[in-house]
Amino acid sequence: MVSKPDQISAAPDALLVGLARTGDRSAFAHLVRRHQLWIRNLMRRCCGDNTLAEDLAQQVFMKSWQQIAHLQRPSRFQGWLKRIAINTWLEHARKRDPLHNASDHDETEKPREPADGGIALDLDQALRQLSDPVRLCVVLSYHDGMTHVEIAAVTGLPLGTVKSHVRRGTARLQELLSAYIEDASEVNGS
Amino acid sequence: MTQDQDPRLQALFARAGAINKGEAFTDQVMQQVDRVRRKTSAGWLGIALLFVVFAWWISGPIIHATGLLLGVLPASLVEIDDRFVADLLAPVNSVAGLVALLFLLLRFVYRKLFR
Repeated sequence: MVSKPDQISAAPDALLVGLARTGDRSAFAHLVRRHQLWIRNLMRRCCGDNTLAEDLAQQVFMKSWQQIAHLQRPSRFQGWLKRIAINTWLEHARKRDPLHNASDHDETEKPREPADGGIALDLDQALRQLSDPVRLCVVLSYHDGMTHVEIAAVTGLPLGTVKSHVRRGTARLQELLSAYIEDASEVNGS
Repeated sequence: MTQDQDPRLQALFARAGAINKGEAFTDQVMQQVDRVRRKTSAGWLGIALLFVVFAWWISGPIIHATGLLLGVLPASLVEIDDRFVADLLAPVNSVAGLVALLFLLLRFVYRKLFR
């Protein structure tokens, strides 16, 4: 016989959303458990600061809890949550110092040397050199494998802008992480 | 892979790894949810209490005003000596009738002007 917690954890999103809308706390906890990784990773790559990323990820779930009654199609919970996450990040980016994005990148920043276990840190550091919109597009493209059309839809940016952001971000990351990229090419080549 | 993506960068993103799933995060979110629920409940309770106090405070003047109104509405506009005719014309020959006529007139004018 299947126990109730097992039934809930195996339940589809739409059912859990339906229960959460009625105020079911455990159903919402399951939704958080199920979708937290994507949100936390997105925020971590966008912020480059673990504490801030966790705070923003929590904000995303709080907003989703407060707005879940307005979700018209429970089966589209994941897409809706992604949209909340991206909007939360964009709101946070807008509230910060407007000069933060005045220059797209610091030209004095040198390419990074590969270090053991430092890929994540160096990647975060390199991503921080990009302006907020460029970084968001690059993260959605590389981390989540979203197409340009999907990124444009979810961020509300024009498709041409998304393409240009991804192209510019890619070029800058290639430059900053050249040592890692060359290493990977050598490993693949040998 | 999507358009214009560099496979080497893609591999780098994959190698950089991801955050592990943690129950602590879920617990923190749920604690916040509980906090918000408590605040919301307290807010509604406060509003309900205010409403009760306001209703208690306003009920006296409302009852008084209603009593006055009920005393005035049936008053005759024109005195008629014949009891039968006075009763027959009471719906029209009263303050209430006048108010109803005024209301109908205003509604007619509003509809003519704005619809």
